[in-house]
Amino acid sequence: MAEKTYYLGIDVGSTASKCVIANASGEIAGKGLAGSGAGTVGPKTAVDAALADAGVTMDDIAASCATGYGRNLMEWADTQMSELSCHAKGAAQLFPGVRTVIDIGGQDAKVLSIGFSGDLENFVMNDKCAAGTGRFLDVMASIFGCKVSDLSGYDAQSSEVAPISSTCTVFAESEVISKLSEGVAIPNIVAGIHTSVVERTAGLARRLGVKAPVVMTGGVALNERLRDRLADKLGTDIQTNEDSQFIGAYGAALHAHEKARS
Amino acid sequence: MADIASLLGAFSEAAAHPSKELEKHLAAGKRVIGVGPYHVPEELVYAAGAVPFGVWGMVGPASEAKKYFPPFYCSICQMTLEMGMTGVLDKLSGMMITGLCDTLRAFSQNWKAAMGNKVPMIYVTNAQNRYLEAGRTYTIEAYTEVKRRVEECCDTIIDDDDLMAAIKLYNQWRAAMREFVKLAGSHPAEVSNTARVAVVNAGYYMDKAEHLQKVRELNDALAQLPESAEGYRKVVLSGIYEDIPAITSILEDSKIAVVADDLAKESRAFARQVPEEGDPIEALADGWCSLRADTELYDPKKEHIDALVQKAKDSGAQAVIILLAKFCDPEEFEAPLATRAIRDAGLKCITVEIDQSTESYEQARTQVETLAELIG
Repeated sequence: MAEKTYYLGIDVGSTASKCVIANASGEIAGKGLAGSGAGTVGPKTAVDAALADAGVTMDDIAASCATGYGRNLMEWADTQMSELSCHAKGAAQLFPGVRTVIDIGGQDAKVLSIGFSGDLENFVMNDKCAAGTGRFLDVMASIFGCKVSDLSGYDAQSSEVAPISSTCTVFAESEVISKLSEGVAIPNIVAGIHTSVVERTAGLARRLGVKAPVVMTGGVALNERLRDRLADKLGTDIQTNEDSQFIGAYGAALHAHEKARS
Repeated sequence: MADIASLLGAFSEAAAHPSKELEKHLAAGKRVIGVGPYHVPEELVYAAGAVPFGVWGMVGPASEAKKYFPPFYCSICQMTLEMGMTGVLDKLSGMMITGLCDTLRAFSQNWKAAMGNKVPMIYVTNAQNRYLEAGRTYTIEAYTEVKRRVEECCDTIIDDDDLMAAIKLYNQWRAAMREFVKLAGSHPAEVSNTARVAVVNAGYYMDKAEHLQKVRELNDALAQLPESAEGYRKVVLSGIYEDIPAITSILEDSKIAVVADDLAKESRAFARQVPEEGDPIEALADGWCSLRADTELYDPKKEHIDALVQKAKDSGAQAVIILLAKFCDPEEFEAPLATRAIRDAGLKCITVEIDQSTESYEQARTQVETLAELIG
């Protein structure tokens, strides 16, 4: 029988499922994304897509690890690990020397402190509230009738920031509707929404202490304007890459790899 | 030697069915007085021949009590008033409420407004300036008034000898509970977190003498066994309370042993020792005035934070979990300072927000699991 040399990591989040297949060298061999998360068909869709992308089947998988909110539903996975540990592992592998990881997920935001050895040293999470999370941006995008991926483009056209509350998604939604009815330009409102997320995330980051280099993971990291505003607020560059959304799943795959070899 | 499992079973039964305990006391012809949080001189109730009965809210949604509280209010107060307004506490002959914090003070007035004379309030004033002679004098006068109100509610006169006997019993009980906390921390295989909480909660509902006897039996049985903390993650819990079933279950799933605690409902409540001589009311006041290192008490030098760090070090803990009671101002103000001090001491620290009305604790699970992965 052929030797199994691939490792599967799946990150089942609240709004999306991400899967990464890593090869024996720990490199990304395939990835899959589904736009639905825990309790849906999203995980299966993401796994199928990642396997197809890597050109392998489940028979080639030596070990697997599930992370994210839906991790405990993935009973077929060999291990489960918290997404904070997985984001730390994935980010440390892709960005050697990283000291701070900021992950804005679907329903929470986390800031991770990474040690010189690349291990997770400390962390903070936001309070139980959707404000300042990916869900917050989803709600705001739905008011404008656009995709969340369009928000960065709107912000790029802003001439000023229309202040939006950073305290509560529901209050913020009312504020946005009020500003629209007052005739405030959408780009300026989006700039306010981004600033609101930035204020909340920066507050969280400062509770832990920000050390450079800083890396942003998760889908929100792809929002260039929000990332730039956060970098300005923190006074440091923020790195990311096109695979930012997969970093948790990649960390899970690396964990499966590590565990299988230990 | 008593069987640990059957002892724990008895505690769990009492903790899970407080109304059965209440009925038992009433069937024995005793009056029952509710005792809210915390540092309440409940020895007065015991000396009156009545049963002090802990009321710290309950897990569930508040509905009726919303008439008196904004949403951003301590859930213990909201749920205690909810219990009162929905008839759960109708058989109590009185309800002792302290004014330890702003929230409790406003709650006391809401209790009066909502409950009237149905379950009369016995307001317990404790002088926050415990370091001053004036504070002691104030507390003596306040406790004298509490005594009068307890006598009124129990239709009796409290005898000094009975009060001193109650003080001695409570001192023994608190000492036994301190010992239990230590033994439970070193024997997590025998005493799960759920069982630990049940032993504590049963103490709020059972007759103190009966609870003391059972706790002593349990302590003796545990002391005979070798420690079983190997393979567990050693943690100190800090905050007001921990008895949210979802939280207990998360701690257990992550193999966390509570080696010590700094919880208001647990070790902070067991900290008080009352002098066993002289005038008993003055003795109760001296017991109060001797209290130190407590978030809810006036603590200008924040000695509580140093004490918490020391407790974590002394107990060999790897981390401190601050169970932050939502909308508890004193705890929220202190949490950032405590977190920094704990981390400066080389220990891990996380803050988990809890609330009696919250149903989902998935973020808490992620935090606790990550902490468990961090400390190994």
